Amino acid sequence: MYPNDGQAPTSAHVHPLKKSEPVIAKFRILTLLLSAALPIAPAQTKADAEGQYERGEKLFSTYCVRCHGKNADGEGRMVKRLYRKLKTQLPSNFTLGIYSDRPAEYLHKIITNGGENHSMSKYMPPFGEELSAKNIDDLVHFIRKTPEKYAIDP
Amino acid sequence: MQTQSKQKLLHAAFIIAAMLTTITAQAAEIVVDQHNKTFVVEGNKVEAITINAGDTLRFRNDDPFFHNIFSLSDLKTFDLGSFPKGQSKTVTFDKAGMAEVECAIHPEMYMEVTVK
Ligand code: HEC
Ligand SMILES: [Cu+2]
Repeated sequence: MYPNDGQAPTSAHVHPLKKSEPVIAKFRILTLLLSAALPIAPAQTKADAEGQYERGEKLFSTYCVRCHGKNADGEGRMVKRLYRKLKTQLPSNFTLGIYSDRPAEYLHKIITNGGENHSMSKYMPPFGEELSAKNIDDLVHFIRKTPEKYAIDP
Repeated sequence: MQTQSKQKLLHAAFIIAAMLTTITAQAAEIVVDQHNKTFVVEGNKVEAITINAGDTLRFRNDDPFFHNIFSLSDLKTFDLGSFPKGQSKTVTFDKAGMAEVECAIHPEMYMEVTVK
């Protein structure tokens, strides 16, 4: 998807305009309803898809909350205590609409290899050795679904 | 004969004095290995360690995967970033108090550092 392999898209650091959020939200509900009616993508088995959000959420609350926050809003305990003081790039806020459009393979790569290997913050650790590829798939699914969850539940 | 033993005594006293000054004046560097996702000092797994103010901890990764050691304690707040096997990074503790040391990749890793 990204021909400049290893390079994170620059929009990663751009926050979408707050004004456009409700429109996005409505659209998201529609997509969610539509996708629920559609059969599961052929690449994924039913067992994989079932409970994937919950599995991702559980992994997230174990490995990612301290930075990305318990609401996935980028306000983990490390942010206030350390990253703001260091004036370094803050952990991403996954409730932002942009994250549902992030290609799965891009998110997968960053979680596997860490930020430093993708020209992002060195404080985003590599999880490729600690977590299985399937674990990371679940996390990617969770991240991409998070904006929807927040859009529906204001 | 008498002067010779006196000289020896003086010599010994000098060596002891020199040793004492190195102990008090020179802060120690203690190696803390990360091994099997635990903290290891001199071959023993530790969950707490006591050091003196001015001492340095050298966090050395002895596992074939990354660790990312950090602390959010008021005493010393730091994040060493992720580093692979064989690499090490140091943190010097200048003030007395307690610091909790964790790993950003492995939530089960935890160690308390008491600085006297
Ligand atoms: C020690 C802190 C820390 C932990 C733990 C952490 N992250 Fe991050 N993460 C960051 C930081 C900081 C960034 C921002 C990088 C940047 O923008 O330069 C980031 C960025 C990311 C990105 C890039 C998204 C974007 O903005 O394009 C993804 C994906 C991500 N993290 C997923 C995870 C997942 C999944 C976990 C848990 C398995 C996790 N992170 C754990 C600190 C952390
Ligand atoms: Cu670790």
